[in-house]
Amino acid sequence: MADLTAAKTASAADSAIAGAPLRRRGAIAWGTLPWFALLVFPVLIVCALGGELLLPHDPNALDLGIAFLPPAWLDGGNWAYPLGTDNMGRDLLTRIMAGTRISLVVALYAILISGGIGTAAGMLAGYFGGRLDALIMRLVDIQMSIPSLALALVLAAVLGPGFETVVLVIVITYWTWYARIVRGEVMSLKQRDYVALARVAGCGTPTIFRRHLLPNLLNTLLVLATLQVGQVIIFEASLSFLGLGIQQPDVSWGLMLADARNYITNAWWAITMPGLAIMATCLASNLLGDWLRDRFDPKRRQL
Amino acid sequence: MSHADIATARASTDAVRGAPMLDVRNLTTHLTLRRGVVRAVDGVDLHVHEGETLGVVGESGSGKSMTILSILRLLPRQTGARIGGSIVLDGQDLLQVSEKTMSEVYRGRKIAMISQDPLTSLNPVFTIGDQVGAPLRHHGIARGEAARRRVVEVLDSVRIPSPDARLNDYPHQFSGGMRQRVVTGMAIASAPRLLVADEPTSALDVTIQVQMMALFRKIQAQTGVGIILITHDLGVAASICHRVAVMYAGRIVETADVRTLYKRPAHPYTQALLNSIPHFGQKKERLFAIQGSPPSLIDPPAGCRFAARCPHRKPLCDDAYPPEVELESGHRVACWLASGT
Repeated sequence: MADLTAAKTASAADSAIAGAPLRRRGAIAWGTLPWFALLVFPVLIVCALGGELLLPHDPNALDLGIAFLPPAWLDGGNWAYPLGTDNMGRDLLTRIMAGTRISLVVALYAILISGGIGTAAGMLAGYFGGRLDALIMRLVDIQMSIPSLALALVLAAVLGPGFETVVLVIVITYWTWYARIVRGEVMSLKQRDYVALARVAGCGTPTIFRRHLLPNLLNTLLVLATLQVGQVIIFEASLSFLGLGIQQPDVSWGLMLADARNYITNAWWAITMPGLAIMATCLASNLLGDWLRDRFDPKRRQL
Repeated sequence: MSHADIATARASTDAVRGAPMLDVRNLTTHLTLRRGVVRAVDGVDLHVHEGETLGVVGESGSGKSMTILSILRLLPRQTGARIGGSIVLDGQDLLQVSEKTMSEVYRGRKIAMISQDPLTSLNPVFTIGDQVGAPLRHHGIARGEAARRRVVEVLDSVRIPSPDARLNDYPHQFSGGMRQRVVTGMAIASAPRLLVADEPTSALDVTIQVQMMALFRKIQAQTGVGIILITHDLGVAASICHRVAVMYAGRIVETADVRTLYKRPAHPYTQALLNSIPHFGQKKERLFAIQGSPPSLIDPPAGCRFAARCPHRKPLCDDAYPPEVELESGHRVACWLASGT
C-alpha cells in the first residue's frame, strides 16, 4: 500500500482532503483476486463444453470386473481410473466430467430464471406497494408453504421427469427468495433522497428502476445468486436421487451421489468424488461472488 | 443551458417586472386516507420573485413539504391527493399542464430541488460526474463532451476543488458538506428558474451551513434563480431569506420581509417561535416551549388553528378563521389581534 500511495503522491495531493483513492480505477490488485474460482471455473467450463471429446472413458460403460476400484493412489488403484470406479465399474472421473454440463446448466438456468422473475416481482412489490405488493407477497407465501419436493413429485407426474422439470421446480421454489429480499431492499432504497430527487428531476419509473434500484440491488443479487449455485446443485441432486430429475443415461453429480449412497461404507470414494466436485463448485462460486461484490461496490473497491 | 439562454430568460421576465416569477394562490391539497380527508395544505398563497429567496418556516407537519410536493405535482398516487388553486410559474399554471410537460419541462429543468440529507441524495454506485451530468442528459440539454464541460463548470461554481480530477470519484469519497455542494451543483446544472431547498443545511455543521448560505447567495446573484428555502431553523432563514412565510397547520399565518418578521412579529405563533430560540449567554431555567400540539388536519377547528395554544386567545378566535390583513407593505398576518377586533 505504501508504494501505491507513493506512486500517486502527485494526484493524491489534490484529493487528499476527501480521502484519496489508493488505487487507480481499473488497476488490478493481484493479491485479492479469487484465485480458487479462477482455477476451478475454467476447468468446469472446459469440461462442460468439451463434451465427449475429453472423456477418458465412456461414462456409461459397465464393467463389473473393475467395480469399486479405489482411487489410483491407494492400494489396488489403477491410473487408468484415477479417481476409482463405482459399483458398475464406471470411471468416476469420466462421470464427474460428463456430469459437469448438466449440473452447471441446471444451476445457470435455474438461477437466471428464478432470479429474473423474483427480482422483477420483488421490485414491483417493493416500489409500488399497496395491492400489487399484497398480491405478490401472498403468492410468495403460498409458494413457500408448499414443500418443494411434494411439488416436484406432482410436476414430475404431470410433465414427466427430466431436465425441464428440474429447472421448473427449482425456479418455482427459488424465485420467492429473490422476491422477498429484493422487495425489502427496494422498500428501503426508494426512501433514499436520490430516488425522490430523481422524481423531482422528471425521471419516470423505468429510469428509476434502471438507474437507481437495479444498480444498488446488484450486490445483493450477486451474493444471493452465487450462494444459490450450491443449493441448486444439491437440490438437483435430491430430485435426481428421488428419480424425479435427471434420468439415466444422462449423468449429473446428484445422480452419482444417489447411485453411490448404498456403498458409502465399502467404497467411500464413489460418493466422495462427486461430493468434492459439488463442494469445489460451490466454494468457487461463493468466492467469485464475494469478489465481484467487492468490485462492484465503489466503497469497497478502493479499500 | 448556456449563460446566453439564462440572460434571455431573465430579459423576458424583465418585461413583466413586478410580477412574481412563481405565484401560488389559494393552494389546497387534500389527501384522502382511510381515516378521513387530511387538509394538508389549506389555502396557501405565496409568491417568489426572480432572484428572491423565500423562507418557509414552521414545525413538522405544518404542510411545508406538502406545499412543495404540490407545486411539483409529486404527491404519491395512493394518497388520493387533490390539489386546488393555482400555481403560476412564468405565466403558466402548473396545475393545467399535462403530466408529460410537467416532467419534461418543469421537473428538474425549470424547478430543481435540494433535499435534506446529503448522505442519501447521491446514488452510491455512480460517479459524481455521471450524476451531476444526468439531468443534462435526461433533459437533452447537453451530451458527451459538452455535458462534461458543463459539469466541470457547475462543480467549479459550487466550489468543489479541482473538479476535473474529481469527476470520476464516488459519493463516499466526499464529505457531507461537499456532497451537499455536489447536490446543489446537480440542481443548478440545468439552470432552473426555481430552486426548492428542503432543509438543505439541517444535516450539516454550523460552519458548513454558513458556507452553503454563501454559496446560495452567490448562485442566486449569478443566475437570478428564485429560491424557496424550507427550514425550521429561524437563524438559517434570517441569514439568507429576503422574505419569510410562517406556516402553521396547513396555512400561512404570517408573511413579511425578514427584518420585519424578526423585529415586529405580529402573529402569536411567530412570536412564540422566536421566543423558543436559545440565546447565547442568556441564563434560563428552561427554554421557552409552545404548550400543546398542532390540531389534527383531518377535521381542523373552524376558528384560528393556533387558538388552542395561543396565550392571547379570545372567544372570537374559536369561531372563525381570522382574515389576512396587511399591517404594512408586504407584512401580512392572519390573526384576530391584528385585525383590531
